[in-house]
Amino acid sequence: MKRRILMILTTLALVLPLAAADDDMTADQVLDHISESMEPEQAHGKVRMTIQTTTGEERSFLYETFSKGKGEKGLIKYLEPSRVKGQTMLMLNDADDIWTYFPRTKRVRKLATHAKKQKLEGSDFSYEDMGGGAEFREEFDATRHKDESKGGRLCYKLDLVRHEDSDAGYSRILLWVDKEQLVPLAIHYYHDKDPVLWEKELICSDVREVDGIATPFKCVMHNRLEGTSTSMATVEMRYDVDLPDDLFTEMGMQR
Amino acid sequence: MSRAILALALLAATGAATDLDVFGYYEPQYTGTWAGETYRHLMSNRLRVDLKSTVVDNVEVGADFVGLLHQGTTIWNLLDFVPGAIAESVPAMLRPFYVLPFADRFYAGDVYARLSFRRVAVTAGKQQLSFGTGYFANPTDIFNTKDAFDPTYEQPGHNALRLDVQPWNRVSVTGLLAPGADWEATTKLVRAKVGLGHFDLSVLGAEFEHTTTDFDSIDPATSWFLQTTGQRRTAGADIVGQVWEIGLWAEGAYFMPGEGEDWYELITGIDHTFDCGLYLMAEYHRNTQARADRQSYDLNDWLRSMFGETRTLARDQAYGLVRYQLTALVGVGLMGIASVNDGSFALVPMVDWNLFENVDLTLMANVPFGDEGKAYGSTLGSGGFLRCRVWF
Repeated sequence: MKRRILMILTTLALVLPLAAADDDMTADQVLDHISESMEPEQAHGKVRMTIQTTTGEERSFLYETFSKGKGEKGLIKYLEPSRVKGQTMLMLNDADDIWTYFPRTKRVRKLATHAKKQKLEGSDFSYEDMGGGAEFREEFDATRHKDESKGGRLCYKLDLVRHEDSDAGYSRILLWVDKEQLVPLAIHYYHDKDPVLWEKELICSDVREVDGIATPFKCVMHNRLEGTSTSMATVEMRYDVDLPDDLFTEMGMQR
Repeated sequence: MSRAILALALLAATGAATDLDVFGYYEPQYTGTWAGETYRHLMSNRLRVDLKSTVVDNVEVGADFVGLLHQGTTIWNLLDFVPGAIAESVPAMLRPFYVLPFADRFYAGDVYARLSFRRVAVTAGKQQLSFGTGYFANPTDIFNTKDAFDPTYEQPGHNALRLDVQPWNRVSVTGLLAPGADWEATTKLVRAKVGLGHFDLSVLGAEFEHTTTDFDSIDPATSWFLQTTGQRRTAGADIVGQVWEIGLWAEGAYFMPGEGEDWYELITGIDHTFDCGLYLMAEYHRNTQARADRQSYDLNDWLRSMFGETRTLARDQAYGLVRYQLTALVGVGLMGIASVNDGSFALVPMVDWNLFENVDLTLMANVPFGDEGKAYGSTLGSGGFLRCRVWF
């Protein structure tokens, strides 16, 4: 569960270099490509997260994200709505150390990493959902199935089964990766305790090239058990940035 | 009050024409309490308007203004909330002094300017000051006393000049002066913080003036309870981190008053979030300034803890918190607050509902389970509040 939090918040966790794929790649090789590419050296962007509840109500959050060192350092600052504006989260050491800053009380609080199990602002994403890439490689055994189309694009289909000693939050994951752009376009998450119970579905689209990196600008997580969904839309994203190290400090959180 | 309103209106009007950020919230709250045979209720309407400008590079100017209006039972007798035997011992001629109104107020919560560079920041003015890692109480926080029944509610600002220096990442030093009537009465504080692995460790030293109220004596000059001031020194430390996936923290302070015996306070806590999202937290708090034997609680003990002059009535407290996000919009929780010394405890169930995009509702109840005379006994009364907060 190391780098998972940072990546989707900063790059929707699914950025990959535009590279032609080798049709004979194994499942592990596909995952290796994802693992290497999901960690741009630096990133700065804005993401809008919209939650849709079972009653059809919507809640929208806009946050600014910064990451450095291939996701080793990350900072998220909420810009909207008013009730969370200015709240900031700092993550260091691949999100093994987390601090939050509350602007109204000017208080910085260090959180234990178990806080990652909580839902992100009540959304369908827990902090642990924010990953992929290296996590897939470390926590799961992968098998490649026959290629399938998703969203009109030909994809590698990978079947990931959790290692027996893994503490990953899902027992099984199905992954569809665009063969041309090497971008995951769909992920099916199966329940922690029941490998046949399909719990969540992540669908990604609107893939654009940003600073040479293919970036899906829209991802939607559907919670099939609770009947809710959460979308994350990238508003802005840059990778050719030079972020100062002192941004990723307690003092940087308060700027 | 009218001048403050005028100033706020002018600032807000100026803000519309410049890059001043104007935000805040409106918070109506209904509070009801049964104590003995009597039901009391209070409706409070609180408006907070924040102003913030970062037009000048490296300089943040901020302020918040609060208007607080009350209606309902606005006159409360403090003696209704102490044990009957103690209340009855108060001489009849003093009893009117314990009857206090909830007065309407308009005040500036914070007014400050912060000059910040990459590794140095100076903040001057009335500002938020809070230290420590405890959730229900902070022994190292010499400026504020939390209400254990509502520990995350915002605290008032304090006038101070603060310097923060961060020579290296995860190492910082804070120096603070809060001017008093003279140098002796001025609060002096130094705090150093360092990150060690997955832990943050802080040490703190401070000298400050403290006011003690004698709630059984009246000062004829002020027609208020007799108040005396004295200098105190404190040395404290706090630590927060985790072992495996268990969050751990501790915070302690040793107090050396100019007169009287030294005492210490210590709070230690543990928390965890389970895979299902259920959050559990527990804290233990010892305050040796407070008494261990409930038979010796006197009028001053009760009222000093009620007014926040001492952090607790009983010497040893245990706190617990369970929280669960029921849906995207609704969270539920239960707090437990217990006095280890006298065996009394209170349960505080709560519900948070994000009603609309910028509208939060909080329903909280408190039910004491203890005999009269115990820290969390029937004397406190049962009740709760419904709070709405509309952000803008």
